[in-house]
Amino acid sequence: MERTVDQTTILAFAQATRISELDDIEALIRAYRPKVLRFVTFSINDVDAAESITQDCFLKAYNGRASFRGDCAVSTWLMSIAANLVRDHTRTQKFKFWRNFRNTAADVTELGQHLDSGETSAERRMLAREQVARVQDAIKDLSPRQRSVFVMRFLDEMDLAEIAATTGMPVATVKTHLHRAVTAIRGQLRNTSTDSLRATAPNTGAKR
Amino acid sequence: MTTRSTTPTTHLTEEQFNDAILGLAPDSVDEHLDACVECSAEASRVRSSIANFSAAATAWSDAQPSPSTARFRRHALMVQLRPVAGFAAAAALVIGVAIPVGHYQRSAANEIALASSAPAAALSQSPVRTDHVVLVEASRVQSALHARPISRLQARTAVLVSTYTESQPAQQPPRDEIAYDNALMSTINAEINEPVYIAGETFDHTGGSVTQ
Repeated sequence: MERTVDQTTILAFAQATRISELDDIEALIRAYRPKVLRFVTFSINDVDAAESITQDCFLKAYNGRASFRGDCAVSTWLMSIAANLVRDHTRTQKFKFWRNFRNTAADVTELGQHLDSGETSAERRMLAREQVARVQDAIKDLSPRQRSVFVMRFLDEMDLAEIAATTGMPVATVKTHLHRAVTAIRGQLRNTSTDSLRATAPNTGAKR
Repeated sequence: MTTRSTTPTTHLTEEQFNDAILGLAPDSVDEHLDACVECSAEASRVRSSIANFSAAATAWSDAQPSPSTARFRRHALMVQLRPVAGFAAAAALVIGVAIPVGHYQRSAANEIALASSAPAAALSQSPVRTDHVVLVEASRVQSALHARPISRLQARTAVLVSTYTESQPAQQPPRDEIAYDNALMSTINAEINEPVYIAGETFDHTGGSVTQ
């Protein structure tokens, strides 16, 4: 005898699974901490504050797990908590944010070192590190919201609708922020190319 | 549209280019990228830069040590207990204020009752005995109220009173309480007039410091 399971039952089961996922805090941290930490760190560019915010995020999620209805993925729920915490953090740090941002940029300066050296040549590795540094420089000049949206899209591979749901912004606004982020990165890469060309150009003695 | 399937003479607009990077571009933009070497090279450069950044950021975040969950659990428990602790502190504050106030009100009521009954009590005692009780009580109250170093002197006075009283035979109360009080007062006066040496400084009977 063939047993059929209707859509409602599957959804209810999925919701129950998501809700029970929050009860095992160790598994939750193990599964989602890197994602949340990555998002927070590159949104505020302050590793110490990011650690603290990430911990707060899991604390809020764990203590508020009763309010989670399971109607979205646990990661989306966690990211929306993290996005709110990042927004609160940037709001409270409003006046010293940019100063702090630049001062603490050294925290993740050597990001390129984390690239997998794999089978690539030394030249390609150097180029990749240079690209990482350029993107990092470019996102420093973005607004906190643009940066958060950029990180969600490119680091966490969230689609526009998911980012909109997480941040509470309309999809069109998310798209605008992403456009600005990509434009800034293109500009930074273009400047680097020009600098590289100047640096490698033979000295003809011509005055500029 | 600025795209052409072969030998394009114009390039993608910024919006088209960004859409291509975001994966939101229509097929015509992809066709242009297939045909235009320049746009294709730039798209490839931007994509690889972002991909490298993403890979490095992911590797970095995966490499970060996770804090102990035991600490996290303690923290979570503390957060959960915070409202309870706040309630307990508020309750302790209320109790701390309410008990002394209630006690004070009861004491005040007792004093009023005592004051109203004092004349009758006084009548039942001899005037000398009443004076004696008042003198001893005044000495005790002054000891408690006055600040140092006077309070030290008065504390000593209270000790003297108590010592003097205890030195009297228990079974034989002083017959002449006037004599008792006089003797006590003279002892107190003599003691009070003596300078007192406290913590490396000498004080006279007024509490003023005496230059050595």
